[in-house]
Amino acid sequence: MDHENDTIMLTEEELDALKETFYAQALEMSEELTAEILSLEANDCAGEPVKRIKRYFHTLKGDSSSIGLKAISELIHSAEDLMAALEDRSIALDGAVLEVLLKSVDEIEKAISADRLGSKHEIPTRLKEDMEQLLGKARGTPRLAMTEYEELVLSTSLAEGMKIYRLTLEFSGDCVMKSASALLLLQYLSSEMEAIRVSPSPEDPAIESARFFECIAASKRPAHELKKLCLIPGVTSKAACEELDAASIVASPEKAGTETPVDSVDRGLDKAAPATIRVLSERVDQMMDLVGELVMGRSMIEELVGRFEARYPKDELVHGFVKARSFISRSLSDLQRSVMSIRMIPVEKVFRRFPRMVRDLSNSSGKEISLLLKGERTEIDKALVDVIGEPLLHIIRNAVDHGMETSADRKKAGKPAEGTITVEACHRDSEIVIRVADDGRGMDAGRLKEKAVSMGYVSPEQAGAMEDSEALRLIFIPGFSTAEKVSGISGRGIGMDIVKETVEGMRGSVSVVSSPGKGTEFTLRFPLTLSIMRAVLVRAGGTMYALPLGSVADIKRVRPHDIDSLTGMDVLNLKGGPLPLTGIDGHGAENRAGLRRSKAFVLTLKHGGRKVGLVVDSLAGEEELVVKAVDDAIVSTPLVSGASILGNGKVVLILNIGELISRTLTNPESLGYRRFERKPTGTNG
Amino acid sequence: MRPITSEVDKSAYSFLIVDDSLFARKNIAKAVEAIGGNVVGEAVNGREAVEKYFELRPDLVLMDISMPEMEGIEALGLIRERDSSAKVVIVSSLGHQEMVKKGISLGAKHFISKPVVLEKAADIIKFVLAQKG
Amino acid sequence: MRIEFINPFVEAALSVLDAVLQEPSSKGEMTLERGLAQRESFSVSFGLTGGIEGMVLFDANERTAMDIAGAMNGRRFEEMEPLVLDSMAELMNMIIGSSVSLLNESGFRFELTPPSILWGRDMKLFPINLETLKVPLHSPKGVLTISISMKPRVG
Repeated sequence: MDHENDTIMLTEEELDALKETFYAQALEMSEELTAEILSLEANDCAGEPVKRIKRYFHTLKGDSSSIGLKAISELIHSAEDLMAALEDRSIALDGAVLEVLLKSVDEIEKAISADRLGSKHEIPTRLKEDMEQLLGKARGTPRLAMTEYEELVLSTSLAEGMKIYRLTLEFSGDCVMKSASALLLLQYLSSEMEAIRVSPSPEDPAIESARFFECIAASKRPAHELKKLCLIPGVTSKAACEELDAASIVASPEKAGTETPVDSVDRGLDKAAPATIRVLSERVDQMMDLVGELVMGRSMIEELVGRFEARYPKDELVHGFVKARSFISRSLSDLQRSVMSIRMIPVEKVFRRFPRMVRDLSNSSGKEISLLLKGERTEIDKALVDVIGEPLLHIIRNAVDHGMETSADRKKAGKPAEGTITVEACHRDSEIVIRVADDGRGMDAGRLKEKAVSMGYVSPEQAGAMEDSEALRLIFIPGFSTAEKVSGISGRGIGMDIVKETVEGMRGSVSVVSSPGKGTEFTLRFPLTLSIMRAVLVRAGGTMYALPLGSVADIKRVRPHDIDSLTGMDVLNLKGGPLPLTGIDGHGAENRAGLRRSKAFVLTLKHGGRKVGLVVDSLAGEEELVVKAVDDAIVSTPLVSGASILGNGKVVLILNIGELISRTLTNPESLGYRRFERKPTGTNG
Repeated sequence: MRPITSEVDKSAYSFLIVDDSLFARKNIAKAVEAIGGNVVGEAVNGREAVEKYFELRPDLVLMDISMPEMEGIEALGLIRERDSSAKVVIVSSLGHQEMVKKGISLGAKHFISKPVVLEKAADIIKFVLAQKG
Repeated sequence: MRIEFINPFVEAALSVLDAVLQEPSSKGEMTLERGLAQRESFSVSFGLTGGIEGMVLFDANERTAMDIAGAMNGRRFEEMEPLVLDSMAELMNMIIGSSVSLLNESGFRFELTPPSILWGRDMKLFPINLETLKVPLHSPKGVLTISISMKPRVG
């Protein structure tokens, strides 16, 4: 009745023939499986793909056990269970599940290939453990798959002696404004329990039509007390409180313990068990805000002390003030650094998504690519972590799809068959630098220029005068890289303009260098901290603006005769060539007239290798600014990236240098002085 | 200080009603009367509400959201900032949910939706009064 | 004009009227008109801006306004005294508030201006370039008409 009895009946030749058929079929199926599993990501996990995956697994299981690959059939058996759990939603499709499924397929392939060559392949115990953990989770906690963060909260709560509950609350029939109601409920319970996961979230519009509200929470209270607390008139009519089996939720506490979003500052004190506390990120943000306010206060004091000093140069008290000021200043800098360090998270959190993606992409494109990650321990601001994943994925995807040659092509070119993509993060000066380099075919500046000319972005003359480094920047023009797949040597795929926009949105920059045949390298730079920056203050048209200090390359005082006009555009003639000039405020015309009459200042702004000269009336000093987001209703122009309050209490707008330069350089017909555009409310754009 | 009891001592509680509409003030006052509370003051905008709150120190404020001069949420914030034990219940028509949520995050103890359903409003008021602190 | 803009207003008005009058009201026949929005001598209007632009206007004759306000306040009015205006404005606030909530749930986003009361005889109110959809609501206290003149904002 079992398969081994069948195989005994076969002759040696018959078995070999059978095996050969199996190998071929199995490898084919595993390829199909990979594709199907990857398609799960997009299509949720109901319906056809799941059925097909189960069918493939089932066939593979039968076949592998019939030729004696017991380890494989066992692994597949578990994978089938996992699929069943996905199907009945006792586990959610997340990265961990996908990873395990994909790894299983990899292992199946490896084992089959090994068997074909007469050797043996051991299934890593790690994979088996991961699989078991997921299955345990699916069995122990129906409909409960936790994110890493949720697991962390859970394990911490358990360590603090709390119990884990699932609260199922029914909204009362007369409950209106369910989002507000859920918020109210959580507010009432906040002193009694720690909500780990709520569903639907109060911010989910679907909550308005929900009848039930579910909450996984940790609390020291017994279930019946918690249940009673959940009953709020006008909000809830019924509550159920069920204690969950903690062990089944958190599979291995030590694993969860390694994922700490916030490390304590004195991490070195106790190496065996770093003392960590879990802090709500809002609290850290609040602290950061307060530090920001203090920095502003320091600016005020500095200004006052300066004036005091000028008025009473010989007074001894002034000396004391100056000393006290320096003391506060130093402590504040230390405080700022400490608070900032709390917000810092290893970039590893972003990087860890990449290996699977590269593996999947290289599988599907038939290229051999290895991914080299460096500097994963580099710490970056939490806000950056949330944002840079997408642009990096984009760049890496493009590198795989377009940058890399096929193995055959690489061999022909005398390169190793396997291509390498390096993703590296490091701190340099006061910047975070992230590099994505490939050793692929590189981009051809000539081809890019041709395309830009054919698409009408630049004139043939402009293209001719363009240096290669400038030509590479063409890929960042909106629509340029998406217009058509530029296959062959120059191809760089989709949406580089989006990458640039996202990076610049975080006050960062992106640059690219490439050499044909050798590879391409993208470099992303971000300020170390996103909320405090050193700025140059300038005045133009009676208004004060701030420019990030790092983007000002040079400041010149200019007179009318220094200015030249080239095809209606003002330029400053410098040794290195003409510098295009631009204005910032809404008084471009007057400004220009003023410039013609008397003198003004030109700040050379540089960003991502491009330069323009910004004409301003006067300079107003340098200050450390706390950057605040600007309300779109007040100023809705991409030319402004934020606002800040100066030591004297005045509000100053921070200019978005990348945008200013792009506008000056990429719209040939509207070069020169530009007006601020006020976006009419409600329109697109 | 009034002793805190779990049962609402009906005669003892004082209320400040804030709404720019006279009808709305009279209407919500019915809910207060239904539980035997006393309306000790009325205000027609947020600024007046803040002044009267600190003058009268009522046990509970019933606060409209949309009012001239100063909106209810701002008044709520000012009151809670100076007296973190202040109990404020928002009274709002539907459609101001985002404001209500803002109010809750500023420490509003509950909300009553307009048109006011008497029994429901009374239940909510009783519930809030029975809460500690 | 799309009908899905209108229904939330009608639905909200009927449910609020039910709640304050404690008796059911019913919806009359819808008509589409160009031009004149107001017919009766008492009305409350709201402007809409944002994702939807236009105006919502409720109108009734003075007797109906006084009777509805009377039911709300538990007394009879013989004049258009301030409490009548106040009660009607509050009623409209409630209706509009509920409508916004219903419309938001259907994915429309817009803002409302505070209500304005228009009261007097021989007035004409013409929304420019907008069609007006009128829905009479038959309440136990008389007819209250909702006129909705609006369009989704383009670009």
